[in-house]
Amino acid sequence: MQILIIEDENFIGEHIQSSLTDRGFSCKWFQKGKEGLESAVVDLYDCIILDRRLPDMDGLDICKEIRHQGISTPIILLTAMADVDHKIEGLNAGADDYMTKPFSSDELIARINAVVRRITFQKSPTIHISDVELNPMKRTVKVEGNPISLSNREFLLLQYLMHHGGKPLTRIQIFDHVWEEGTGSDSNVVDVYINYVRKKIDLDKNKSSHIETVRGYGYRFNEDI
Amino acid sequence: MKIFNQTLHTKIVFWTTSVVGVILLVFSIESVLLIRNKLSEDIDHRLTSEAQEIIQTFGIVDEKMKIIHEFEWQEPHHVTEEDAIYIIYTDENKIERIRSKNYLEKASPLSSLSFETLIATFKTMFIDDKKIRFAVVPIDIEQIHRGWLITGMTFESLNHVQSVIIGVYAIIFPIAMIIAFMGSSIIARKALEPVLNISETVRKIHAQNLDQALPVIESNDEIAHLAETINDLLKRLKESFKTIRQFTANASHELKIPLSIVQAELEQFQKINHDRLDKHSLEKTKIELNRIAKLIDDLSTLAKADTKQINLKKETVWLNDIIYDEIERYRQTAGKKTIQIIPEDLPSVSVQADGHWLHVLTSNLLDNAIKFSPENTTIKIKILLNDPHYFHLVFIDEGPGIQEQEFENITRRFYRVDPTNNEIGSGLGLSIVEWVTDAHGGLLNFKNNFDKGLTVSVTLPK
Repeated sequence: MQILIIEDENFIGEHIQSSLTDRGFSCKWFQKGKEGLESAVVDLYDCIILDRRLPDMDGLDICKEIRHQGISTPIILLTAMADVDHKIEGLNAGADDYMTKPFSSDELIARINAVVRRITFQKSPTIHISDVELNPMKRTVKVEGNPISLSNREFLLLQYLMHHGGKPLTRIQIFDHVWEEGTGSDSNVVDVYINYVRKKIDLDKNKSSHIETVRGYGYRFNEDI
Repeated sequence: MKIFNQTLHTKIVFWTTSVVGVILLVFSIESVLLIRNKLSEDIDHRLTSEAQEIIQTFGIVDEKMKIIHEFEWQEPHHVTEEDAIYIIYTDENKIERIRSKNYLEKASPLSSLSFETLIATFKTMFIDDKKIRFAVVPIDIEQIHRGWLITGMTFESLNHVQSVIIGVYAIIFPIAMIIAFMGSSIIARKALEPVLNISETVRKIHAQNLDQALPVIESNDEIAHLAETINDLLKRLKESFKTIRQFTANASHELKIPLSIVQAELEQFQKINHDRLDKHSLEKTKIELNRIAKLIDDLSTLAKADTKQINLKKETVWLNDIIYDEIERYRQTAGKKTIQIIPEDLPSVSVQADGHWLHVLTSNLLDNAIKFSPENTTIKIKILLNDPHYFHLVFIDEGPGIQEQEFENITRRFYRVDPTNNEIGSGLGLSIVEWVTDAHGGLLNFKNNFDKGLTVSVTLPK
């Protein structure tokens, strides 16, 4: 993945760059806001990491400008200001996520992955399998035409399963996608959420479930009912 | 003099004196006019009755009118200057026949007077610079018109009365003004004296001697009320100063502990081994630095909450998402102590609340439960929905529990049940939980379990 880093502080910039490179990302790092903005407009990136307080420009303005240019590359804002209001301000300016300093590089990487995944997923078209219809843009789910209200995690889970059609997915795969990567090996949260979703979308209790348990493996979305 | 810039005292005196002055002035002008009016009416009455009296003395002899006591006319009539009544008698042809001796003026008024045969007429004239009122009374004897009798009178008496009244007012007016001035000045000073005392006392009060209170005024007036209000304010100020001082002391203490640990680790590090990285030391340093960062976050949250700078942004949030997210976050920490977090009864349910602060609340409660639970225990989490208006978020641990008398203390800032235990938390977590609950219009409850451990329940409106 190509990552653009715009951060004026030497130490933090180096730290982000080295920890991202260690994980196999390729990075470009600019210390000046203007140069970073130019690169963001000209080059193609998967994600932009943007400091809010830069010597020559406000990170928020860069964010707005990037969006103004019609570039939808996910942006993660970095800042020392931990205020909820500041976060909202950042998100309203077009950022996709927000991290406050000090932060751990592991969390930053997890967030980059989540943001990139979310963006790719949001752009996908409406999925319609058997009587379930899922619209990623509007975040709506309908079963036999009835709207179903799902929590964020439930929605992500169903979307992931439907996205892969009848292909079975392991619990770890599901966890890594819906929750945080690499921490879910001994968690049963996937099973709990499968149950939540089943309760909501299996309207006819006599029929077999939309989500099928694949014994010893995981789950798959049942295309055949 | 700009009256609006003066002290209250000056203003009271100015306005009182002015009002008294204006009232007196209006009153005296009005009374002089009234008296004058009355006296002028009186003059006309006197002139006609004098004339009638004289006409009585006329008689008819041989078809001709005769003045019976003619010699009287030779006497000076009514000698006193102010009451002088002049009498002139004319015949039918308005030709003067006789005039009293006291009519000293050379000019005759006859040409300017109007003569009526049936009624008396009146006129005021200036003769030789003297203002004189004349009455022209027709003389009818035995139903035959025989001429006119003219009586006249100066305004001397009227002017005299008027000048006496004005003289009296001229003395009374300044005296009344002086009394009003001094009286209002004394009253104003008396009334404002406590205000001056209050401002003098308040001026001497500063952050260090907030204990000082204003002397209690034994009365029920506005000033006593003001003093009471200020005393109240001082009391509250004192309380908040005390809280701030305590808060600052506690905060710096809490910040110093992890810093000194980091410092000690680094010094140790420098002394023993320059080249090899000590994993344990680094890990400890990282933990302590995290603790400082968390503490600074918590402090700023509480500071903002106290000054009402945080606005809740209520939206549809899913409780199960929040709780499972936090469980996932704490699973590793709990795992280190082999503590199991068991989500019992967690329906997929959405509520109107601020998601960020519910995350903070859940995280703080889980963090506490893990910190205080011994190894190999469980923490159960439930959402109870059977109440129609509220939902209950319940955390049940198997830790040592808390003595009931401590329940009201544990949400106090920096409060620790065991003050010697510096390692565990900052004592701010539950303060924040309490604030989030309050801000959502909910209730925070603690209960010791029947066998062991503590149950914390957060009741929030649906």
